[in-house]
Amino acid sequence: MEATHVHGAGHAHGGDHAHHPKGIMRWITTTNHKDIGTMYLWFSFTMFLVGGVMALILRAELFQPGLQFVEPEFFNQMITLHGLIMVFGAIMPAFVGFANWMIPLMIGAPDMAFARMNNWSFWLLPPAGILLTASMFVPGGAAGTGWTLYPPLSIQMGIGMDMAIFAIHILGMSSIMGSINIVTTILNLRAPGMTLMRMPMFCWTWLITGYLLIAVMPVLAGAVTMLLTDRHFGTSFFNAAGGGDPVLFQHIFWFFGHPEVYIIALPAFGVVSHVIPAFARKPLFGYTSMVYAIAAIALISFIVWAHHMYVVGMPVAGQLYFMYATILIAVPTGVKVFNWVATMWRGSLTFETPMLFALGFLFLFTIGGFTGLVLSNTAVDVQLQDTYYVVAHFHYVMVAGALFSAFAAVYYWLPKWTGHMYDETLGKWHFWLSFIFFNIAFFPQHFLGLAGMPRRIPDYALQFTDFNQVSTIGAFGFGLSQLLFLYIVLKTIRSGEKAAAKPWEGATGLEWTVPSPAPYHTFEEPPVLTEAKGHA
Amino acid sequence: MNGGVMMAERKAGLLQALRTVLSALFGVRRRSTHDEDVAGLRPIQVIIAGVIVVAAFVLAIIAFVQFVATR
Repeated sequence: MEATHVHGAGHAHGGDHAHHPKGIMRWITTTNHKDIGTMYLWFSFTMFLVGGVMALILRAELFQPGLQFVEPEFFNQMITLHGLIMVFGAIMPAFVGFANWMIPLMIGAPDMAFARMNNWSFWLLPPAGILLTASMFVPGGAAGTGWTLYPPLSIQMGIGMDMAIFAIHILGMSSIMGSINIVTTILNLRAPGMTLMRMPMFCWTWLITGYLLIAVMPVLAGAVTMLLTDRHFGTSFFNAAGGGDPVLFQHIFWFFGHPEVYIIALPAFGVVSHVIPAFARKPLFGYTSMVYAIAAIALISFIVWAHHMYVVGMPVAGQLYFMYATILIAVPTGVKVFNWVATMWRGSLTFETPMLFALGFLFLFTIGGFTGLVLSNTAVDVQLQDTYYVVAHFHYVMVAGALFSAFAAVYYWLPKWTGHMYDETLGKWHFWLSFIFFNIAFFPQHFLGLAGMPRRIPDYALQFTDFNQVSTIGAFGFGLSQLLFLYIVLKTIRSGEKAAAKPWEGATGLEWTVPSPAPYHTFEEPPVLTEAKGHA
Repeated sequence: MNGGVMMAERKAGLLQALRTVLSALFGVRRRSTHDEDVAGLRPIQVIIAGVIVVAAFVLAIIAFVQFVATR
């Protein structure tokens, strides 16, 4: 099965098939999962930098009390765009990019199931990204509601709000098509012999994420469409003056928004479930439990949404229900943390950059999970709602969870993509700088929140100054460290030690049976799986 | 784990599917019981059992909340 059918082990960026277009048309017309995966990843990194600059504008303003750099209205717009761009423009496309690149390689498929739709899924993203960023320059500026787009504010804003709504429509369409593609690929294009329970964990997490996306993206699309008709066509879904209910929007939004957290987290779990076994040189502990736990998390993620809304006004019975359900969802998530720790137990560990980021994920995501448990208590949440404690909590989940896992994925698979090894020393520098500055930026925000500093406000009382200054220094350090990441990736693409087909001693799976860089076309004939070639 | 044999032996019932889902919530189980499941259960059985368990889970929490809140 050792890739005898794989021809032209040439450069991943073309050359081995003369018939595809050259130059820019290659990227516009491509239906190749590797090209599209690469575009997803570059798009998401670009949006990551754009959203990051917005975050730095926020942190610069918050370095001192009082107003220094920006107007409060612009501050609100930066808050909103930073959230929307990071969630929909950076993190989600990054994991779709990994899925495009790796799922066909992992399951022995020649490409994604719907190759042309794959192209369209990607090319919907740049217009959405442009709509969002360009909305800053229209009269009234961008949406300034926060990424949750709560009415009545979102009914009152200018054309920037409409641009955000259309951007969300487009991003939602892209996500739905992408997930239909991924689900179909996984269910129909697996190599003979790869049963579902022998499938790599990353494919499992994406299979379940795909279903989650198909279930909740239409809900978000419905919510913002109702906003749009409230704004322009005289309906009153959310307009109290016309008999509507603004709280209805919050319920619909969070019915999407809570599964969305797991849409981001589950593929990150998948990546970590590959990296930790590879560098512990042991199979994943409790593969089956992990699969079931992921499915359990996905189902339970639909029944906890109103824990985002404890202070909105809800009967005590409702508060208790959502509190208990939320506390219980921590059980399957905790199971996974124990699985990863047990995978490392008595393994022969080495600490290359992907492993460092995976361990950083494990440590910091656990902290984010615990602060989530704190917030799940209604009585505590009433005190902490809309404070910096919440900001600290979800950045530990989103940045230290999803982003660190994405970095682990890039370092782990970069040799397969480029054919070169990255610079290990620089990679370790990137990890430690990111890890230290991340904690400097976000850990003090717990203290700020506990002391009562509200979020989404450009000014604050004097007693919050010290921790805000520490946080801003950390944020700039973290942001600048990501330029090192860009340098490392560019350097790896251009030069570097030649990578073997399987550069990691403990790695398992079909993706390591093709040469590095992966040829433009792989698995044109399905590989034959032997009993030994199990799941990763 | 031969495919043909697997198809022939698939006769496990809903109880086994429920046990599988509950052990998934707990998180740890024996390899031998897992192998039995792989041989005996169809995915649709596990999915149905999962939905049933989640519905029961929600109803149990609601019942508990009623008990606590009305005391």
